[in-house]
Amino acid sequence: MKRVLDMILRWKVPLIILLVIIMVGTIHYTSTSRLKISLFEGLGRDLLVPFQWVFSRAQRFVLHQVEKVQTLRTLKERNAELEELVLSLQAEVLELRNYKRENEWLREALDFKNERGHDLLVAEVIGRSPSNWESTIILNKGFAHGVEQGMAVVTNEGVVGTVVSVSRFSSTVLLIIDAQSATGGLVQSTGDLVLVEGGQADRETLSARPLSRDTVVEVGDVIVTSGLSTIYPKNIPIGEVVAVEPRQHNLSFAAVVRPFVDFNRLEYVLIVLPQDNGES
Amino acid sequence: MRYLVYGLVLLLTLVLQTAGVPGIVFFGFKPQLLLLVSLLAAMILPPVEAVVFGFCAGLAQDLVVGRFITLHAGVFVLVALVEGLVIQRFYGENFIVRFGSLSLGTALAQVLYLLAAASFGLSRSWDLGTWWAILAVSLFNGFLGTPLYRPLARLNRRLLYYDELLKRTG
Repeated sequence: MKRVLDMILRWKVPLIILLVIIMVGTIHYTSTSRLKISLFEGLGRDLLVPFQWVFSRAQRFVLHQVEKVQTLRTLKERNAELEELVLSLQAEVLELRNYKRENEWLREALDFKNERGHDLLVAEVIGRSPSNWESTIILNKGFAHGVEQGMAVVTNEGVVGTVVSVSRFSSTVLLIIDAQSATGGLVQSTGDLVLVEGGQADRETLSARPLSRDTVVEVGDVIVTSGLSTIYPKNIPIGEVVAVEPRQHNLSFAAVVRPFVDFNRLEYVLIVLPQDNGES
Repeated sequence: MRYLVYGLVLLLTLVLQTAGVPGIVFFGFKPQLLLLVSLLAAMILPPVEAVVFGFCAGLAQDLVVGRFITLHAGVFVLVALVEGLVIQRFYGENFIVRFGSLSLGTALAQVLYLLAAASFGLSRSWDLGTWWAILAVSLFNGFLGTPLYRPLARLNRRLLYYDELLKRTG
């Protein structure tokens, strides 16, 4: 042992240089898009999954208890509000049922092809990126459950992000609010195409840039996925336009989009599996 | 025995950081716990051990949630070295020195990370939002780390004592 230590001390400078070269090489190699993560990364992530799962569960339990105590105070008012809401929702449901029937009839009439064609896999959020420069979450489903890199992740509220790396029992999802994220979107009211990007300074909103000069976006417009990419299915809600900012001498603009998904309170998400994957 | 405890501290911090701290935010920013324990290790441990601890903490972060493997490891090593030098030159027992060095160490680590990440393709505009984020996280780490120094230093002294005791008694 002492001989090894002596040797390390004698060859200190060349060893440090070698280590720096290896580190720079590794950073360079991992900076490009990879189809598979390394064995060490997979092992590290899988080993941490049970700890993260226990910890996130415990944290969620505590937060729910605190929330419960807080809501007890306003329970009476909230109850009255909710009763009112139930009545209005019941009326809305009746109206929507009528629309649904009408829609089904129209689809049949037009021989409309069902484009959904996807299975969904429920996954639990067990971790988040500790970095303030990256917006990623860790899910408790990996390639053992059929998850693959590039799959879309959504909730019933809207788009969450894309799976960027997968280990056996966990996967990492790049959120749409991340600076590296860009998604094809569609203005629901006009059908105009926009590019929805993350990386906003507040890390809570998105930026939507028009893809053509004639695109019109107004505050209150809903942006949905365009379905032009292979990642996201069509018509999944992304967010609502809250502001439109002019750019380049008023020749262009960028719309500020507030996502429908609350990324700070994500607990469960849905991974969109291709239909073939579910059948095989 | 103390290396086992250092490993457990690292594991606990990693789990806390990735699963436990989304609820702890300061002006919308999360504390950098792994960086914080590396800086505290640089203040408490001898230089070589502090550098190895920083490397392991950075590598753990890279392997579990990082985008560039060994980038955090390199940054943590550099910052641990600088932190160790600063603490040697100033009176580390003073809480203002501790707060300042932890905050500055965090700021330095973030600037180094962003510069290095930019050179490997993860570019980011150096606007007011970025500087605000660096400032917020640095202050957050300073406030969190300053009261943690004494208990951790005491724990380290105790571990050294037990290690010595084990060595002498066999």
